[in-house]
Amino acid sequence: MITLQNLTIGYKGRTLLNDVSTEFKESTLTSLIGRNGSGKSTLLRAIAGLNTNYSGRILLEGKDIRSLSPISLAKTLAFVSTQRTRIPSMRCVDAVAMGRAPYTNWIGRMREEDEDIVMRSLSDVGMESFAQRTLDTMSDGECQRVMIARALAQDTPLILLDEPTSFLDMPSRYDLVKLLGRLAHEQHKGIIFSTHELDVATNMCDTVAMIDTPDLIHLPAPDFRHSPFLSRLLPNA
Amino acid sequence: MNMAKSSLFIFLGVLLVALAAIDIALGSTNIPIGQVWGALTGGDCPPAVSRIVINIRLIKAVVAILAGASISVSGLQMQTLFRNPLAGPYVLGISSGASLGVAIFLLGAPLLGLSPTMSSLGIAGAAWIGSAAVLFIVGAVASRIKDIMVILILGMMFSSGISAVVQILQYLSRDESLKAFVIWTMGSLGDVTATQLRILIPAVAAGMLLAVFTIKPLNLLLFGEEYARTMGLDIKRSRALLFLSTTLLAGTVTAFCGPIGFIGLAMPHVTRMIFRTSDHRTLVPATLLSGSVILLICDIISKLLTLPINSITALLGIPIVILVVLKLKN
Repeated sequence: MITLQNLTIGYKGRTLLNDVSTEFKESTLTSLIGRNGSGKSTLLRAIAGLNTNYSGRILLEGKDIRSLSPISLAKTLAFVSTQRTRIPSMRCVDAVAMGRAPYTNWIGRMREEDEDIVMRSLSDVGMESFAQRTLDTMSDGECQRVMIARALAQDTPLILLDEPTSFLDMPSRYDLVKLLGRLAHEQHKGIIFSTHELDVATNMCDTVAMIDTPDLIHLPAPDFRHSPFLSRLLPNA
Repeated sequence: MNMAKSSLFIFLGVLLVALAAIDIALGSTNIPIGQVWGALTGGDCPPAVSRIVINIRLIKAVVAILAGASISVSGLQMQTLFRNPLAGPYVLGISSGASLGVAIFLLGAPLLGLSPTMSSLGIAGAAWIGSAAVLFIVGAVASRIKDIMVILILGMMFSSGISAVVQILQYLSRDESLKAFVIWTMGSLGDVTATQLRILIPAVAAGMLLAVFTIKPLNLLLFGEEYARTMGLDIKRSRALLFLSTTLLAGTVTAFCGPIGFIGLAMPHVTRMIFRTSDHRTLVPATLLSGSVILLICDIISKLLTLPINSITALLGIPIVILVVLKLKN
């Protein structure tokens, strides 16, 4: 559903990816790994349409994302960034409801079906009991789940997450990645997330995309585990 | 909308009407309530009294309502757009930009020999250009530098730099134009004429109408620009809409009333505290009401104590600003 065609991206004068082509499919959980500064965020931001400073093409279901209007892009792709979002006196339900923005009218009026999707998204991430709590009274991990629920409410075939596990403790990390896997397989979404957790990336995902500057290695997880690439991310013995 | 919210709106509405009535009833000349009522409803009342009530007191009350609503809504827009709790038309230098525009116009205007209507329009136009220019510079810097302190310091530097330029202009200008400008800088709600009101009302109405269309963009911008974009917000169009709305609101009010400090910064916070929400569908109308209410209160206090209104707004606004800063530190 998302195709990178001869993609070349740089950041501050450095080439991060050079002439990369690959495809990410639906119903698939993909982990994006690579060293610090290798361009994981830059690649995700490019796919999300936030960074258009690249050559080559990024196709969403055949269409170049640069040709899509902001609204139609928002209906195809949801993004969860590393940015903290503890907005004072904003309730969980209202934060998740913002995910309906591409579908609501000029003032953001919620119809019954919008409310239903919001509550379903909250329960998908196991946060329905937090619905009336405000974001400033919640932990980082809880806010992270709310932002994922917001992405689900956006009802897109594709979700991108930039290091969603970084604020979380060990059990919460596993729970979150399990959740992402369930969403990918049950709701047939294509989900790509960047991470530094190699065990999570290689054991709990369907495919692994590794930035091996300036290449992108994209393999099914079992193949990746037995490939020589993994060792490049491990310390030298 | 729930019960608590509706009753808060009704309470603010009633308070607004009551304060407007008190504001009109009060003044340096003692006029019996019956005669004030008569003047307003076209009933039994001496012509001289009627002139005071309609031409002075009513206009002043209307100006207080418009000015309070405008700078408070503008402050709300700036705080959300720049994700900066300390933003406001005064702090960001938008009011200073308007002052510079007015200074250049007033000190140069005698050379043009304009009619009162034209010169009122000129003052407004100069203020719009001045505030829009500052807004664009602050906006351009803010899109590159995400640090809220940098933007605030920049706004302060703008204000200081602009007042220095204004002083140079004053120093270089001739007597009669200097007098016109000095009177403007001491400007208050009471100096707005009926002619100026004919520009103030439509400009503020247009700014408020645009503000209604900024409600959804503002709600999305609470999450920051990047999130807003991935949720389908056309960022360029929204910014343009917000800049235009704030220029009409804060620029026009500054043009005719002079810079009004701290209300634009404080009232959005007070409103958020009262209504306990971050939803701009509630905050925009609520801030409009609370801003009008606070400026009427300031005007009533200034009449009772015969003090300039700008000092009252500062004395009421500054404690709230300090509270916000202390709350931010925690």
